[in-house]
Amino acid sequence: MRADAEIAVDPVVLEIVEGTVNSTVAEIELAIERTSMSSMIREQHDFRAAIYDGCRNAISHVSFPSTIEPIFHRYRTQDIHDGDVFVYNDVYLTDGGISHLPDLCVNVPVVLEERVVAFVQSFGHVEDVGGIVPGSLPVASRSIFEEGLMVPPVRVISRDEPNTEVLDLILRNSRYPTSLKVDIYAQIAACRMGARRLAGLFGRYGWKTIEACFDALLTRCKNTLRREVLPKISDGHYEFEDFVGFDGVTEGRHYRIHLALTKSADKLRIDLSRSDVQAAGPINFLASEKIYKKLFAAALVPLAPDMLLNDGVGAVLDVTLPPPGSILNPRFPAPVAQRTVTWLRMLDAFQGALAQALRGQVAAAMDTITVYGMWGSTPSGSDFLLREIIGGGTGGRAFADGLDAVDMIPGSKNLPVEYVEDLYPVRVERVALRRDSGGAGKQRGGMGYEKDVRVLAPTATLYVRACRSFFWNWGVGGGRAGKPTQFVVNPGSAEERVLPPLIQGVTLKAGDLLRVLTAGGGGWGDPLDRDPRLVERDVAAGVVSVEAAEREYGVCLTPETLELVPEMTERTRAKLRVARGALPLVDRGPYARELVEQGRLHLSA
Amino acid sequence: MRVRVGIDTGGTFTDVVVLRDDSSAPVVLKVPSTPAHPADAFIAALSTVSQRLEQDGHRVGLLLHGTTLCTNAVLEGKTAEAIGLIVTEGFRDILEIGRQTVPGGLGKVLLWVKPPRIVPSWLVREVRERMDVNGECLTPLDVSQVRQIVADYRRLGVSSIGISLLHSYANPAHELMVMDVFRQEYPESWVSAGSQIHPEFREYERTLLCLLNASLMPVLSGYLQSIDVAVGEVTVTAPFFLMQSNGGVGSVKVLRERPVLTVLSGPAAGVLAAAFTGRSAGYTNIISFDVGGTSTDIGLIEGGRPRVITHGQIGHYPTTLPMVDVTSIGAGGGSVAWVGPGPSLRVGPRSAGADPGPVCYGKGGLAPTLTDANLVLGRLPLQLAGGAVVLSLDRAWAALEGIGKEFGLSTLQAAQGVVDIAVENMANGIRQVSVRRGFDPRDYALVAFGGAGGLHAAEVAKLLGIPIALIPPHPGVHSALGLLVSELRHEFVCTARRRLHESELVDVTKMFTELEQGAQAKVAGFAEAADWTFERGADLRYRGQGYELTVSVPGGLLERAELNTLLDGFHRRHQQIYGFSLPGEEVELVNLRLTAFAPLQSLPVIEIKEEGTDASAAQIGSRPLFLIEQGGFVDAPVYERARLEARNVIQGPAMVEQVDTSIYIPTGVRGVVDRHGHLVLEMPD
Repeated sequence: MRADAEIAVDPVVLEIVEGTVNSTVAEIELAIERTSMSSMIREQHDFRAAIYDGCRNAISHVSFPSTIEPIFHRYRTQDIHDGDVFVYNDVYLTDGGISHLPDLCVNVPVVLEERVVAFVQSFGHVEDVGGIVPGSLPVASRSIFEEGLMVPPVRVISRDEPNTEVLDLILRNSRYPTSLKVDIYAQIAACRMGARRLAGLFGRYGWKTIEACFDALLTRCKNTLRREVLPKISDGHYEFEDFVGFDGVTEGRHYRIHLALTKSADKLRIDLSRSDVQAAGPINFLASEKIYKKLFAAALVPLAPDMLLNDGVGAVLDVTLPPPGSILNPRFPAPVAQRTVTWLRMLDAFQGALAQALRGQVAAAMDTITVYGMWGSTPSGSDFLLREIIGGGTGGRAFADGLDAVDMIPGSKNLPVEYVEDLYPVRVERVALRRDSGGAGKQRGGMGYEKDVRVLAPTATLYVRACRSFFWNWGVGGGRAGKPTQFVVNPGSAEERVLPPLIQGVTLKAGDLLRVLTAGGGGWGDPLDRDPRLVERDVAAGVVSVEAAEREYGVCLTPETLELVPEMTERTRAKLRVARGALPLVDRGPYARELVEQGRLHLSA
Repeated sequence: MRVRVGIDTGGTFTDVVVLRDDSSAPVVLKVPSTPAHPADAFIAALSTVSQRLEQDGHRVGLLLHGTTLCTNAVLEGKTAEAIGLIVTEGFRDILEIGRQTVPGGLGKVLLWVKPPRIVPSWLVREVRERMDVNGECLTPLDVSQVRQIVADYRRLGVSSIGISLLHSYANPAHELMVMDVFRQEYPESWVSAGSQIHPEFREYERTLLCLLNASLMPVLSGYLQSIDVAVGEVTVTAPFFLMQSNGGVGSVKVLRERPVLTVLSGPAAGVLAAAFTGRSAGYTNIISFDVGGTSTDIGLIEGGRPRVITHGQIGHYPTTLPMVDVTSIGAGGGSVAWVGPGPSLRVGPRSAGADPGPVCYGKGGLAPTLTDANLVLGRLPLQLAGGAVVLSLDRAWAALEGIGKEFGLSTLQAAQGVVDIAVENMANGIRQVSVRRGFDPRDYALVAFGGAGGLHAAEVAKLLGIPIALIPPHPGVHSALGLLVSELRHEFVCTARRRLHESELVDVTKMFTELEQGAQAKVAGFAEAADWTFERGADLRYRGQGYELTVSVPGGLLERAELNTLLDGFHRRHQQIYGFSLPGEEVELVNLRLTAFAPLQSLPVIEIKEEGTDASAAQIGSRPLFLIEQGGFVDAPVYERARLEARNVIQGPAMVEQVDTSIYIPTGVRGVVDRHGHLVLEMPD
């Protein structure tokens, strides 16, 4: 921001500028979605666009937290021209602006009378940028050098003149060069269109007015946080931690993500410094302070649902990073490919701290981003790479049950069976809600998926990433933890094999069945307070078993017709209430309980 | 004389337009709609108009009807009460899971509550059977299990049932067998199968379509039964057609079986009318701009024909059925101005609707609306609809004063601001449509209608660099006119995913021929119209992309020359829309499409009297208009639309009033009346 003072701007022009910024982001994202090739972009919506002002602040509503700083690490502003396009995916040279290598970032400046007045940015999760596994998402890498090609900020188009040497170098390093080329072109074309729209806006009102409006949008975010969000959070100091159960490389080692939240009248201070040291495997997460702030602010959206979220958050949030060498501040060249696991737990730790500050009015834990990939040759001999981001159940909330089988990433879509069977040598035999996976609660956790995939190819190689395998999605206020994610090969047969949560290079043969079981959300509130009619409904829907209805909820049903028996339910509930004693605030599932009992895990909350 | 009658039932009014085969102006009338008993308004409208026609010695030669009956039933959840669904074993939760998508931005996952599914899990039944992707049967259908399910549904009183089995687009045999069981054992049920409604791959979307269809069958049938007698009386010999989402009309016989084809028909007629208006004024590239009370519908017409798309939304249900490409944004006369977080000045998408309506209606509305702002600025008269509605300037003024204070704006600044923001929202809506189509608004003419289209047409056109805005003679009943200019239209599709390569041409030609033969057999039974023409289309994409572009395909045998034309057309279109193309890359064919058209009777041309350029005979007075460029109110002439003659010219600033709308001509804009009665607004260079 140019000055801290609130510059007076015409509210009408401001609304028009904001509307145009939103509309431009929507146009860019629409164009990328329609033209890209990576299934991660077009089906799973792992791509976003953003707009920055001339002072490198994100102006548009944050749909992914990043920065534009990396460009300026290498290029002086006077060397940036109209018609330039910059590309990068380098994690460490961008301070985590990109946090794993398949996210390729495109940046287009808006230059007006030799001044860089804005930047349009997009990133998209491309199919492959090299490294030791197809898809560039190794789950057992020990260094980022195993994860793919690193592209520092480079100018791929200079004053409208493509730098084909650089593009060729990048494409040569991908297993799927055509797909990568199209994804780069798609992003460049879309960002340039966005830059033209912004140039039009600057032309119409002049840069002084637009810059004043951009500042006002930053101020608005700051003010909304101060006036509408902070007052809802009780002042005080809160701590919470969550755990990543496995790093893909080190046996029997879990990692603590510790978060301390200090709330005062006008600030939220978040201290991550007591988190564990960096991991040997690819679960490290790198981000700058600016990025961390936006990540946390996004979790505050439920407190002011219409708020505009941009770099204006900077003035209200303070983040203390751990020292270099931490799982949340790794040293080059620590591996990072599966960093999603860690930032999700970090967000859960934030939710847990907030749960205390908001007296329980937050959702229980969720993990809705499970990934697996399978590659090999089709019976006709061509290569295939099937990947899916598959959702899970979300945590129960004060006002509603958790959501069944969703992905928290906006716009994400699962893969239609008819699409998968057409393109890949597999048959999908079942896609269902996973019974009893959601944690029991007054508001139960959402159910995860149960999906059966039969291999038709002669052989295939599998990798999986299952989160929440050891430390379950926690329940809150008496709610129980949700069931963990699990991948099972040939379930129910003599060769049944439960896979470790992070594993690559599993060989499957024709006829093998892969069962994907994704995590249920944690429950919210005491399960014995749940309306018995809702339990009856869940049993009829097949998502809660008759046994679980009685065991977890104390709800008794007639054996054949599965109708509620109210008197028996009352008696059972009364008995259960006496038997179980006091309820913990947080239930993390049996593994964490066992560790605590053995004195191997100490919890601050 | 035989005349054609169009009856368009909207939420508030049912509009009727009668067109004779000479060049005389259309007869227009309105009756109130009766949402609780939709058939009543239709019957009232029809009997009113037929009495009038009888007196003049005319007969109804063609009856066309547009209704939002099915749309409203879906939006309000008032379709069949108990709906069932039969799916392939292993997929009972298909509706609960959907596409795993949470609507809204980052963080909304914590707030969203999934709306109830159209069929609750406990009424979904699995049946043992399985087809593969090529339509080969892997597991035969267990017919005895089907019988059991049918008996079950019958016992439970489930009377609308969707049948949606995996890969039925490739082979419908099992779905047809299930339908047969219903026909034999539960003939009074409403049954609909995915392969029969829309044989396209992607199981969730196809399942929803067949369910929506099954759930609407009793709704539309009941309605048609209620109006049957009334229709029979006036149209013993005249054909009766209903508007469909695809911008064509269909016979009642077809739509009784496929009511889902009408769910997005509401805005389609308006776009058709805009195409007609544009064509008669000499324009074939048109942006249709329909500004109503709660929303603005934007449509695009290229080469005189509305664009049809295959990815839309009805309520929270996605639909892949062909529909006229209309984008609806939350900006209309009733859009409310409010204080958003920050604080920020917002207009819409919330609307005061018709009840309580804008503050100036004096029906209890307290929040200032776009209409109130227009009134404060002098752009609306103090009485609407020929005196039926009296507006209170004082109330509007007070409401805008209130919101202005929140931002340190004067009342007039606030009113001007509310209008500017609404106009910008409308322009942004048009811009977003442009990305999907890759067009430059400057090459288009704007056709503005609906209650508030004329108020904002000139400003929106100026903002987008559109040189011409056309206001049709009866902007308030434009959709009913659209019915009268429609043609019969039916769509056919088959999935044919493969590389688009010379070696596939024999196969593709064969598939098109089969599609055409099937279509011909079907449409022959649809309506008496003999003159069907067929247009082919192909959904193409670069191999690996997830979305397709529909490119038209020449008829007859496909050979290398046709292939090259097709590929060139695809690359060009991709370049135009998305800013890049990849001529060396492999192109993939996804679906083959066939559209059958048949014209109704040829259309008359409406002409009005030609006079000189002097419009002063039509001036009925003057009133103060707030003009920002003048910094205050200026006395501006007011004209009556009905008195304007062809060639009359009006120089802005000025207002033109008519019963159903007001038209604002800003400073620098020139309004010219053409010989068809259109008011042509020419923007300054």
